[in-house]
Amino acid sequence: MSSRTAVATRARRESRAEARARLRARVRLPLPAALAGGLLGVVGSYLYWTLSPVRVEGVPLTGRLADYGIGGVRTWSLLLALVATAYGALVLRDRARTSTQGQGLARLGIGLAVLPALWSSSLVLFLEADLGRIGPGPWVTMAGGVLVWLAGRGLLLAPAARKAEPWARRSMLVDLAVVVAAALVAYGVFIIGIEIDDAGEFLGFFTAITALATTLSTLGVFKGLSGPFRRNEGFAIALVAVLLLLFPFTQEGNTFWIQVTAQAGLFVLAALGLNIVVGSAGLLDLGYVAFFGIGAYVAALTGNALLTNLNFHIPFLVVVLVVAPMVAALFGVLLGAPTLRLRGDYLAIVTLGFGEIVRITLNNLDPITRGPNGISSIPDPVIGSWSIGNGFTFAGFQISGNSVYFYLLLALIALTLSVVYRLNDSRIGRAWIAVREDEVAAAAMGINTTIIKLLAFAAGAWFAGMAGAVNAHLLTQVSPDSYTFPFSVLILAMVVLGGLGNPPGVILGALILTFLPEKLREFSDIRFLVFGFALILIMRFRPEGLLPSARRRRELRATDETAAAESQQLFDVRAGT
Amino acid sequence: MDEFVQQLANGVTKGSYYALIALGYTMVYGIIQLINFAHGEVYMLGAFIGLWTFNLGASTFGWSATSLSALVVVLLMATLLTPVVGVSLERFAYRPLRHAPRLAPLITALGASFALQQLVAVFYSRGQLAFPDLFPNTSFQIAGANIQTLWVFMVALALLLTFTLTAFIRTTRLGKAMRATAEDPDTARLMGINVDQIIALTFIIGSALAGVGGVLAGMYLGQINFFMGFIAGLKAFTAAVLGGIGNIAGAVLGAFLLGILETFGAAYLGGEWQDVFAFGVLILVLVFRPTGLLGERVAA
Repeated sequence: MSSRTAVATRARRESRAEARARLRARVRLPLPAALAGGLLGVVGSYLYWTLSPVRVEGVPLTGRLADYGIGGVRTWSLLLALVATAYGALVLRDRARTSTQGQGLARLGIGLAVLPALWSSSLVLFLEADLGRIGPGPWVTMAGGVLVWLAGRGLLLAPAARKAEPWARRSMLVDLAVVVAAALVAYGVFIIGIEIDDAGEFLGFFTAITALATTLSTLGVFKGLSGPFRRNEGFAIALVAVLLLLFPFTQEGNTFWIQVTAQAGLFVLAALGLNIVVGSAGLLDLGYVAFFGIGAYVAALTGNALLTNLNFHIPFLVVVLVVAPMVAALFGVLLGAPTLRLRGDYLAIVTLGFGEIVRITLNNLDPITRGPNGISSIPDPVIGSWSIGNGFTFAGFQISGNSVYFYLLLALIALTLSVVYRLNDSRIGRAWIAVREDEVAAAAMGINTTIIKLLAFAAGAWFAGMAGAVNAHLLTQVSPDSYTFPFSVLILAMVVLGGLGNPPGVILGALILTFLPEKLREFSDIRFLVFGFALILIMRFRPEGLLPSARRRRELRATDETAAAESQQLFDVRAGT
Repeated sequence: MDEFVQQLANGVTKGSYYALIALGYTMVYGIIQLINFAHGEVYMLGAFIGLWTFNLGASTFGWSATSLSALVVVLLMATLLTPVVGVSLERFAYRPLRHAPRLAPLITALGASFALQQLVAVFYSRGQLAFPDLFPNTSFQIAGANIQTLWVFMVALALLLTFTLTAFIRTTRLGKAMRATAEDPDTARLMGINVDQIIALTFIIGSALAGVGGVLAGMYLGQINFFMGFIAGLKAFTAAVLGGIGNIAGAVLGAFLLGILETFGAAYLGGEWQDVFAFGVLILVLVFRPTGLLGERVAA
């Protein structure tokens, strides 16, 4: 349809967008308001956040909610307020103010306003606390945030900053120091996040970190960081690997979060696989969970489970690396071969139907799958004569079974990443992108589009099968109910949130969407509701995700920028004649 | 033979509410080439609005089940409120993405479907809810088969609405505008048609029909839940594809065919394979005759 869009429509959209931008730029305050807002935020963080005791269903709550001192969610609002004040002062002193700085400031302000708003509304909505019991603190902090936001908007019409690259040409040593510092900060944020148990406090922490990260991103810091990382790729990878290997030792014998991290690793694997299908080849697969389930059932049937009808044992590594992925990929080909000739949107619905068919079949094929009961008591995998559930001792340290799962997944993810990156740079990977961007043109260039799409399908299914096989052992059981449509949507949400087509983004998306629900268990009821709205909002406001790949960003934003460029050209031509 | 007629009657009845959902799918696809995944949820909301209206009426006016006035009010409420949902979807989720790459609106539609389901699950109920028998629970015999009057009512209503819709599209100015928009939105705009309004109108009609379908399905099945729109939506889409997407007569034909095929499949292969059967039909149609039985056409 877009190809048929008239130039007139585009021009009208353009002028409307301009008018809207002008209107938006009018809502603003002079810069000193940022200082006032930041200070207001600091004051707000020290004020009472709750009028004690907050009654939740009649029971007075003590502890963090009615905590008067510094601690809990207020630490994070204080941090944001201090950063906003300091940054506001810096911008105020800077004569050559830019709109980029203004955007950064505005984002800090939004964070500072959203944090108390989220906290108090979740208190009222989900813990059913009385609104009158919310103290002055959140309101004052929110007001401060709004002030900072408006002050930041005051700079919107200033000239934009040149794309800064803070660490462009420095010595090797500075480069390495930057890499180490950045990796340690990211690691520290992750470890601190895991340490925070209270849901409210975590919400505050997460909002604060998100606000800071988006501000830094606006200011071009991440783009600047990519230089040192790219120049010292080997070193950076080794450093990250060492930090990840050390992760279990930071947990002091508490295995819960190691297990969650292992679970996150599974999602990373599955999401990387789906990313090949949706991100690289642009095929919307809504029945992806079927391949995950097939992998899990293969592992369950061949893994010496106690409660199963069928028992022939295949060594674990063979199952994970070969059998389960291969069976899943085979089903991928079986589904894809007849359907991939179809239009993209038909494909989505066929895969959706396929997901249901697999689930129902698993449910009904009692003699093999034990029907709705599923297969349970699947033992930990045995490699040689060593059951990985027993863990091992290394240089005097006892490594628990959960940590071994974590290491196993690290290894699988590393393997997957190397395959994915090699694939993306290969003839096949480029063909995927070509097919995604314009199937007709790709076919005209001699690409066999059906085979290429089939390969994407099979590759995606391959990694889902691998993840599923590990999942069966990790959870010790499989049942048809575990592999339903919402699971497919969850993995899709990870890929979309992180950044379609960009492996680091997909990993980030999978981590966020595994840890966030785990931390916010109090709100598990509304988890899927939030996912649904998140999908709509991301597609509307940031279709390229949190960490976009450059090419995909251009493509998904095509309508704004290309259209603008095209109409520009047309006007130029007309002016020339 | 009795068994055969009985299954046929069951299948046709099922087909009647599939048809009401399929019409919305096929109209929306015909006009903006979008699979509106959230359409099944509009049908689900129709059923819930119906139940909510009935409960409200029962507590304030003392309605009892099988009262015809209750049935009329419930159907009216469903037809009036579901379009609000449909139009909001179009306005806030799909319209901003009308010129975006295809993947974007599809993912949005999926998110919308999920969000609507969960809204009902979180704020209304996660359980199976009994739906009242609004229609007199009487039955009669034809050729040895036991046929409920409700079934006759459902099929008659579905056919009546289809004929009204066809007449509307064929004869009125608005219908003409819809056909023009489906055929070529840009040219339609140049001819002075407000394309945005026409698309909104398509969503209004489609949602209202799905809302009626939801109430009918509630009465037929006797119980409703927040997840009912997922499978039903998928089947209705299958029906639309079976008949030829964009084709109104095709959608209705496809829906009745699918209902019949599915009922016979369930009867002779076992009920637990019923859904597999329906999706199998979808895949087979797409592979061997992707344009459907009556061929693709745009709204009419």
